[in-house]
This record gives sequence, C-alpha cells and structure tokens, in this order.
Amino acid sequence: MKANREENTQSRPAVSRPWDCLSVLLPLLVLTMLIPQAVRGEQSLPGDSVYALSATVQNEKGETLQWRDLRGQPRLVSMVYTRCRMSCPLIIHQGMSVQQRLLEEGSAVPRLLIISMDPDHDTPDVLTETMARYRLTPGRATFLRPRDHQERTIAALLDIRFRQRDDGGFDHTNAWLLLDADGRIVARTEKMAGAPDPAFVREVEAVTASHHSKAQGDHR
Amino acid sequence: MKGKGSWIPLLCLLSTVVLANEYVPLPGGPFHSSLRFGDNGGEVVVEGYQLMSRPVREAEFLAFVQAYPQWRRDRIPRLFADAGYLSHWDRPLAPRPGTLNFPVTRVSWFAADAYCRARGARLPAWLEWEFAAAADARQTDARDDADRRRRILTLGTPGAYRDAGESMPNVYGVHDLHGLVWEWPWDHASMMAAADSRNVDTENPLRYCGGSALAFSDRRDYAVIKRVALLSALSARTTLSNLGFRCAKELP
Repeated sequence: MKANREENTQSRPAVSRPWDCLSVLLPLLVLTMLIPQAVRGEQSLPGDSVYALSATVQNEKGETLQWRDLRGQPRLVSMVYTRCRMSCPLIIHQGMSVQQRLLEEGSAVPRLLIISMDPDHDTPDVLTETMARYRLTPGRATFLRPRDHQERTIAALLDIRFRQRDDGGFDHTNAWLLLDADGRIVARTEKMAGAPDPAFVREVEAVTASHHSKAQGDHR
Repeated sequence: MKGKGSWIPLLCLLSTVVLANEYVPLPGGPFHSSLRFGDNGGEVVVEGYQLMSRPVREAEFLAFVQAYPQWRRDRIPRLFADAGYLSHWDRPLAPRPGTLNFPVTRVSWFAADAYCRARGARLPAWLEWEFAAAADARQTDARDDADRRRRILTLGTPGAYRDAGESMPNVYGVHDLHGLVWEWPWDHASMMAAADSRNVDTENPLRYCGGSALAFSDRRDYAVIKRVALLSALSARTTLSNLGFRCAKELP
C-alpha cells in the first residue's frame, strides 16, 4: 500500500502533464474537425428537411449509408414490411403506377425509396428478393432498412404510423410522400387502389421539372 | 495549462454526481394491458427492463442541449419540434432559476428520443410505462384499488411545479409515474386502433379519438385511457407544458 502511494506521487508529474494536455487538445481537435461540417450542413439544409435527422440505414445491397446521404434528388418515399400480403403490395404497385404514368407523359421519374418498418426481418437479402419479385431495378427503387431502432423516428418524420401485431404483422398507414431534393415533404397521397391520384402526379412532375431545370442551370 | 486541464474531468465528475438519474430494474412478466393489442384482449408478456427512477429533469436536459446544440430551442429544425419547445426557459441555455430539478417539459418526442439515445438508452415502450405505472408502494398491480383509481385521476398533472422524485416510490423504486407530468412513450404513434388505413375513408378525428376508444380492454382504467387518448393524438413535434419523459434500457 505504502509502496504504491510512493510510486504514485513519484510518477504523477511525468504522467499527468501529457494527460492534462490531451484532455484539452483532443476535444479541441475533434471540435475543429466537426464544427465546420455541422455549420455548413445547418446553413444549407432547410429547417423542414427530413434529412436533418441523423440516422443510419442499410440498402438492399447491404451498404450502410447515412440518411442524409439520400439528399440531392427528388424521391417518392413509403414504408412497408415485406412479409405483408395485403396492403404493402398495393403500396408498391401504386408507387410503380405513379412512375409509369410519369414515363407515359415523358416526365422525369424519381426513384422509389421503400423503407422497412420491420428491420429485424427485412435483411438486405430479403429486400433484394422483394425487389426482384416486383422486377424493380436499382435505377427505379431503393429498399432501405433503418438501423438502431430508428424506423419510428423516420416514420414520425413522414407521419406514417405503424403498430406491430401479435402475429408479427403490422397495422400501418398506407402513403406515398414526395420529397424534393432537399428533403422537404411536398405532397402526400393515401390513395392506394386504382389509378394514381392525379393531383399527386402533377406535384411530382412539377418538382422533378424544377429540379432538372435547376440542375441544368448549375451545369451551364 | 495544468490548471486548465484539470477542471474538465472535475466538472464531468461533478455533473454526473449532481445529474445522475438512476435506473431501477423491473422484472416484467405476464401483464394485463388496458390497451388491446390485436386479438389478445390485453394479455401480454412484458420483457424485463430498466427504467429511470424519475422523469428527466430540467438540469439534465440542459446538459444535453449544451452537449448537442442542434437541440437548442433556437437551432432545432422546425420538423423536430413546434414553437413551444423549451419556450418556458429564460434563454436557450437558461432554465428558470429554482426549477432545475423539476421534470423537463415542453419537449417533443423527437427531442426525448434523441436525449435517451445520447445517453445510451431509449424511450420506454407504452407497455413498459404501463407495467411500471400499475404498481403502487405496496403491490405490483394496484389497478383494482378503486380509491387509487380515483386518486390518480383527480391528481392529473398539476403543472410540474415540484421536483422530480419527491413522491413516494412504487414497489420497483420508480417515482412520479402519476401526478406530476405525462410522459412520451417510444411508440406513442402506434397506440390507436385505426392505424391501418385500409379503410381509406377514415377521417382524422375518428382515426385519433374514436379509433382509440375502441382499443381499450379495460374501460374502468380512466386515468390510463385519458393518457392514451392524449398521447396517441399528438404529433411527434408536439410540446406541452405537462408532458415530459424518462428513459429505459435493457436489463444488464
């Protein structure tokens, strides 16, 4: 015991000085790395952007990405679970119908972002298989499963409600949302049967048209 | 240099001592929920978990906002909270003097969720809250006690004008589940019956209010029904002067 104490007092000056420095310098270093990024992000991201959420997602290829990485293109977003036999096929088909309608009218087609509310079951393999079942290509759709139990946070942003049932299925809101390139919710439709809601299709056309003219303007 | 370096760990130590909000273990088990989930009539099995012994206090939330300034009331994105967010504080980093141990209120679900995540925890599921709130100081399920029912109903939420943790704890050591503030559960958005919009004609008012009334398995538990009706109607951005939260964790 005594020996220990002596050792401590002897070694303290040598050990404590670099440690003292580190305790100040390390946070400073981390801060200087983080602050410019955070400030830049806050400046350019609109306050009503869903991409303000810090969340991690995984796509059907098994790639991990940040939720905010999805920024940059207008997107059609919905939430489903793949074991669903009733309403989810309706939802996915409705998204495809909106894309089909836009194709027929010669408009640009935003990608479908289909997010799982059942991330434990909907692994990348399951998502890939689901994509193949609907003959959806990566150019047309991305399937995502939220990580770290953030499916509820994402759902809350999109105002999609879901509840797991005893049988493992979910009761949930059926909806497609239109996000502009910055992640603002521009339009929403809950019409899942029959022809796509014409008002919703008009909104999609308007947003993609303005996005493409802006993008062209940037290139010039 | 040396003097500057040494106060940082000291401050950390001090703040953990002052701010510690301890978790208490709850064993879980078979439970009769006042909410009906599917066809089970309210019979569920709650897994064991840990729950904060009292609601998160203003001082604790201030420390969070200092560490994560994106959650300051003057920086939070509009999508994450309505205009009432922390609006009772004097300044963005200044709760009113003398209220540091009051439960924090006027926080959105997003902010409550982010707070618990930042602490390595999560918001409790509704069933976990309900399981803990069924207990009183003597028994794990005191809900058949008619006097208690009347008491917790009239208690309501007096407006959070006292320190968190002052009330008598229940058998698990949890304080203030009744009579202080209402609390955000993780799954507040999934408590009402008509979440499924296969019935496309359903109008919002029915979906929220009428919808949830259909989902109760025990209509005598009016204090709980009142809470569910409120919570399930809220958007995750909503802030209220009598709505706070506490965090939960898995058992170690």
